[in-house]
Amino acid sequence: MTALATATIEGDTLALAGVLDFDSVLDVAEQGQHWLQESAPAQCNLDLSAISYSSSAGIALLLGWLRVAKKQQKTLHILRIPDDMVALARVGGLEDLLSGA
Amino acid sequence: MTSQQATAGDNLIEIRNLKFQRGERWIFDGVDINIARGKITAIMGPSGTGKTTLLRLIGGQLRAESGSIHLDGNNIPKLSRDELFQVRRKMGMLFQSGALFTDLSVYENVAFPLRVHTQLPESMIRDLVLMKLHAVGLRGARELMPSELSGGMARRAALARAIVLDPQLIMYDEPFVGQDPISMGMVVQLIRLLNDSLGLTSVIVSHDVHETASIADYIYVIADGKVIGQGSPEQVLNTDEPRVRQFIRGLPDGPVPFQYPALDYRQDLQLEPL
Ligand SMILES: Nc1ncnc2c1ncn2[C@@H]1O[C@H](COP(=O)(O)OP(=O)(O)O)[C@@H](O)[C@H]1O
Ligand SMILES: [Mg+2]
Repeated sequence: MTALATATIEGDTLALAGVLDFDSVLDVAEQGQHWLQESAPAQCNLDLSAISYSSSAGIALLLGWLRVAKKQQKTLHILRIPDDMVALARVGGLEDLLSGA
Repeated sequence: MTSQQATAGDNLIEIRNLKFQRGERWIFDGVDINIARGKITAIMGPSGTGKTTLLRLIGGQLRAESGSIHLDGNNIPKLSRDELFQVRRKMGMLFQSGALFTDLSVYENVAFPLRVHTQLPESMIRDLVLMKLHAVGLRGARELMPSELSGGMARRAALARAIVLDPQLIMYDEPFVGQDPISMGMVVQLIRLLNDSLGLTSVIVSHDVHETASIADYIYVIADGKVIGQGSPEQVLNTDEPRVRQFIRGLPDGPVPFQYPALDYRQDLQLEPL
């Protein structure tokens, strides 16, 4: 029953794919953090277009990465966030934070 | 978008010819109920008709004598303990009593299911707890103990805990009981907001006709072991069925702002602008 999340890094963009449930976020959390700390440029992107489902844990994943980016004085732009994720973020009062603002 | 939505029909739950007995009395004597996916379905009826019992049958805490309760293809009364444990993770239940752990803060109450069911690090647990508490207006009340909360706040904290694992189904037992008019309006708003924004399926069990009619998409009225009426709130409120008509009385309510005073949200999330 374990659903998989994958992260693919290409240049200045990390692309997430698959399902972000309460288990699978841990498949990619460290990879993204490491990228943001080590090799990501000051302006970098997170592409969410290939996410088929995200739980609230997916929102927490993004918040964690935004914190890492901020600490590194980098700007992580969130691109192509699925509508369902926006709705989920909105319930938690976070739609501005994740809309790439 | 979820796999469940891709594979199943319009009903998340289908109850057929349900029979359940307490002593000599048939609490349910052949009940058929559909719970439509993504909708708010209300089960109403006088006290003692078996509304709480029905939620326990759906949750698998009680087993029906006969009939079926299919949830996404799983027949609840026939599941093994392990299967039931899996299915229950998809259900959030807000019972009338026994809400919060009295020796834990609001924060720890909401964090509890995450600590039990996930391996998430503390930073993610904190984000999730703050998000859910924000949704119910209690982000600023997280250090309070349950004894310091009003009845309405306690109910909202329990709601945050019930949704923290993103259930597919949420069941509310008498959500309007013991609420003052202001918190009543908040609960009504919240049930609707959560249902629509989280793609939830909601079941409300209540004897409060007007609050329930104001948010339900579909209502079943049960009495004497049977479904005695069903339809949209409008249809049920305007029915000629004499027993159904007994429920109807008035109590208007309006929307109200409800955030407990809190720190700036970005600062709280350690994401304030550089
Ligand atoms: N544990 C129990 N043992 C025996 N009878 C019970 C038990 N729980 C509830 N009942 C009886 O079952 C009936 C339905 O109860 P309940 O589901 O709590 O009704 P409702 O929620 O509609 O008020 C009531 O007559 C109640 O007294
Ligand atoms: Mg009851």
